[in-house]
Amino acid sequence: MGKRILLVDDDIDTCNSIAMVLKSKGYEVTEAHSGAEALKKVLALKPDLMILDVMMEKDTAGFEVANIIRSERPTSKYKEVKNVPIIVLTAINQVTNSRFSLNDKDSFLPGINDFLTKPVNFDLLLEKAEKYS
Amino acid sequence: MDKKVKILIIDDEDIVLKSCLRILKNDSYEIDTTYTGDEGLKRADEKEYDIVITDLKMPGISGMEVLSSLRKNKPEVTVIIFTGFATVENAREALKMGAFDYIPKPFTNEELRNVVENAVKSREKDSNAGMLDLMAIVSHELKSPLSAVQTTAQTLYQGYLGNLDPEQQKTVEKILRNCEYLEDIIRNYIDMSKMDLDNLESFTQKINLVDDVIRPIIEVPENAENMKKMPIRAEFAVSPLVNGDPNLLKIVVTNLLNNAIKYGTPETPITIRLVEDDAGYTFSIRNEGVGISKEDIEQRLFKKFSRLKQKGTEGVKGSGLGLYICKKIIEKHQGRMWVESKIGECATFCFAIPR
Repeated sequence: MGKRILLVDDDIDTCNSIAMVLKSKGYEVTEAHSGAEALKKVLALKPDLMILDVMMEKDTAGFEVANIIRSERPTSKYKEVKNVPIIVLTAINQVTNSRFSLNDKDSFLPGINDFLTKPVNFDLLLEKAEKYS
Repeated sequence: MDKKVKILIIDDEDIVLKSCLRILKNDSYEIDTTYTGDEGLKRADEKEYDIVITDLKMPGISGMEVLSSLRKNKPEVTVIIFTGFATVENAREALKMGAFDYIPKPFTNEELRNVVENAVKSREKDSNAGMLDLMAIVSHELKSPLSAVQTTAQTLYQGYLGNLDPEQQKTVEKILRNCEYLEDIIRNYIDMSKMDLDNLESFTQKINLVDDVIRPIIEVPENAENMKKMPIRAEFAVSPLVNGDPNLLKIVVTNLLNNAIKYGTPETPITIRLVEDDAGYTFSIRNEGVGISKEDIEQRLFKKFSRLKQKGTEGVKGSGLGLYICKKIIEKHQGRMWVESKIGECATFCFAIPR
């Protein structure tokens, strides 16, 4: 059975396209188009990998979703999925500017394993999906 | 500036009005005059003035009242006050109420001209700032739909929906090429709105040119593993600390690297160097490719919105803003930017920043 990926992006067209690429390599992809939907589905699915757009505008934002999943609180609802690898999708401007720096792993937000810039390069996407799932 | 600056001057003394008209006589100003505050306010209602210059002491409505009425009803108008020696206190009061500046009477030609010129400049700056904000907002808004188009077209191009025949392949290539063009425009507009270069005086932050600027750009996966499979070779003879803004300098390095990839020959190396010399620290980036003619370097390359019609680059599109932005940023760092090229062989872009 293929590895399960939860793909979260509020742009449905982008989400569909990325899902298509991942499915072609045998991954089982579930899409979520909002932060709230992602939080619901992560529990139901217990994915091997989560790919999370951090530029979502509506309801729960991407980084918040990651924070909630990674919560250390003993009563956290998300204990079971706390360690799911998370790759974030972000705009290249954010990467080259300040938030992330490739030299400085500490500047990654807590719990983010890696990132991909948008528009996504499919070769890199598949490489990273394989590495983390 | 293609639009005339509309100025209204209110003073009860005919001789003042006449001398103002004489001193400010200039093709870029359109000047009206009137004798009373009452009439002045009426005029300001009927016509969109940029600048109103008013005397403080006049029969009827005073200059102070003109000022407060204009601030309330026409906040976009820049108000300048004439004041006699005896009324400097009033002038201070007027500045507090939002007057742009005051001109003490009697004034020299120079004094009057300077204050008016400053007012005009400050208005231009404000309207530019507004434009840049709008550009930034619009550009950010455009980014996500563009990214969706690119991603979707990429699935077609890479055969995820079945193999394409050569004709179909070419068609999708056109879509992708124009996406890149649009991406370039958006990135440059965002960069430009970030700069606000006119307001930058000096940089006090010490940054490391290699670790804070160059290396992070080279290591972005899109660059390190670029589509044209051009390996990036970096040779840093020094790793210096300079005064500068890392985000602005990153814009420069990003632009130069993007150009090297865009105009370079696939699978040939891009060489990046940083050395110390008389000028300070010199960064250079070299790519093999069609090169740039001397004429283009001298007359077009660094100009705003200019694009070269170089043989072999047809189909590569750009906003014509990138190098202009780079040059501006380097100049703000007291540096210099130039390019060396051998037609048909290579192009090397360089900038030097003082120690």
